[in-house]
Amino acid sequence: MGSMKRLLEIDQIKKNFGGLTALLGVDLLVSEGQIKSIIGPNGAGKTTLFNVITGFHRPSEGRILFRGKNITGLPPEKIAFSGIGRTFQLVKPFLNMTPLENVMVGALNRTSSVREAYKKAMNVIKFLGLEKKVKIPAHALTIEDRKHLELARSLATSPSLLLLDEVMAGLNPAEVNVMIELIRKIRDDGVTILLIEHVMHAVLTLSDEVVVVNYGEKIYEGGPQSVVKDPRVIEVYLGEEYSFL
Amino acid sequence: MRSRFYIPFLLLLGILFLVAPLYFGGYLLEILIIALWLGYLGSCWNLIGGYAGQISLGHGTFVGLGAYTSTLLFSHLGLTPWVGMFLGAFLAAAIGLFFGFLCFRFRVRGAYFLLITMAMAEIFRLCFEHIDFFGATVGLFLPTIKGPKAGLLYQFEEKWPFYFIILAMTAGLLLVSSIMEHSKIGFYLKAIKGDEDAARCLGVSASRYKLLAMGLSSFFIAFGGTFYAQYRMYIRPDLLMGIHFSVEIVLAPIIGGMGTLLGPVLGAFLLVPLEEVSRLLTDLLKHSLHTKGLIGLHLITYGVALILVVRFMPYGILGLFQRLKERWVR
Repeated sequence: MGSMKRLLEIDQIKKNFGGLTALLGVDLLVSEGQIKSIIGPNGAGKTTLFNVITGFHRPSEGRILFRGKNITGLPPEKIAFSGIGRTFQLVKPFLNMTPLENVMVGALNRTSSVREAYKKAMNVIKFLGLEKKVKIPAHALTIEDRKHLELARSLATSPSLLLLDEVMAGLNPAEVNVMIELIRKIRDDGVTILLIEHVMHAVLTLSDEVVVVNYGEKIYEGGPQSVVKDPRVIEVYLGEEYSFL
Repeated sequence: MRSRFYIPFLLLLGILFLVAPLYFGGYLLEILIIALWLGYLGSCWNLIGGYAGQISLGHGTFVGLGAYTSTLLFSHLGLTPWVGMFLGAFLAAAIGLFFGFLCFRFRVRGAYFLLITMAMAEIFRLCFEHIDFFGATVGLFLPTIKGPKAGLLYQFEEKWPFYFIILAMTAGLLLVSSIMEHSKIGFYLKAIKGDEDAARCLGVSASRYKLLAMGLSSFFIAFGGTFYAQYRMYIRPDLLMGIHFSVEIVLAPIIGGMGTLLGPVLGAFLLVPLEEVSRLLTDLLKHSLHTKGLIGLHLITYGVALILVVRFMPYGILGLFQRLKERWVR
């Protein structure tokens, strides 16, 4: 672990919304090539953390380093250009465009040529096995298709770090397994992954490391095997049933 | 594949438009000119309102600025409107960029953007209506020039030169739109329209691209103002500026299809004849009933027709075709 390169370093991030404190000084380290998961009850501050990393919220305190460079307070588009991709918990497809065009918008992050963006988009679509979906108008896509599209679109920006916000939510168990395979494939292709997830089966199969957040604080960080045995995590999030695993 | 399909159709359409003045004169040519003019204005508006989805109800301002700049420069300094129209366009673009910058910098979106552009339209109309130098509510008449040099001053005694000018302007703008639509800019504007936050996460600097669209849109639409001034030889603030005319600009793109290349022109070619026909029918009715109490009925007919179109074709005519095509492909 120690020899791995630090990709994302989050240093004492605090975020207040008026009187409400969403993050109370969170530290997080994501190393190159790993899959790291953030879990925790609703309202714990997971999505706020993603919004702070991707520049939608400016942190009240603390700093964020990406590849050693300070990216705190940069606008979302600059952060995307520096190599952090992101999907949204509630998918946001461009319904006025075809799925292929959706992916091409992502690909245009690294080129000005529409022709090249087309090639790149087709490669990503093939890589994820979505060839059959590109002809369906975006508004007619199922939830699973939309999640895949969201993934393809951010992957087309050529990120070195991908933040996935509940990509499994709303999928049935078979679809979850497909998604797990896709995420593993993306990691094997050299993209580091940080995910927020509630589907424990996915978290436990995929993650190299798990972070548990509660009330804006990190209460656990470690391997996926020991997280299910940690008494505090069981108390605030998992509940008794997981302690038998 | 798609373009191969379109080329013969566009060629035929182009030839029809080129020979039209041979067969149409007077009234019919007037209708063609007005339809092309509204199609041109709608296509300019479409750059920011259609492709980028930032609905502006203030574009009359830029039309007015174009008309007033070229007209004032001509009547006071004798500068030919052929040059004056570019100065008007630069002024309009500067104002458009200023308001655009304020809105986009402070993340004014949707209905709030619409309200600010409406306020802008009214501010400019009221200012122009109360300053004598701009002719106030009386308006400005252009000095008439006769003789062979008139053309150099953008004045023609007949209608057909105006027809070809507005035809060339529309064709040129459609070319610009088409190039833009198929470039990175077009993709980014559509993405901003689809979902601005998602677009930014994909590296789209939304405010920069919206400003670009706003600048181009206000620049080109100002040429339409100069055209109107030269064609009518008379301008007045409430004819070109203010909310009323700004809404009229937006109608053609809404009917034809916002964010489509040919939608605004198509919309204008439906709206203008529709307005004429409803006026004709009202006149006929008035004569057969021997009454004078039907003033404004043509506007009601026109309004009802508009409501029906919006109710049954919320994406415009081209939008409807696109949806049918999508269903067919599936």
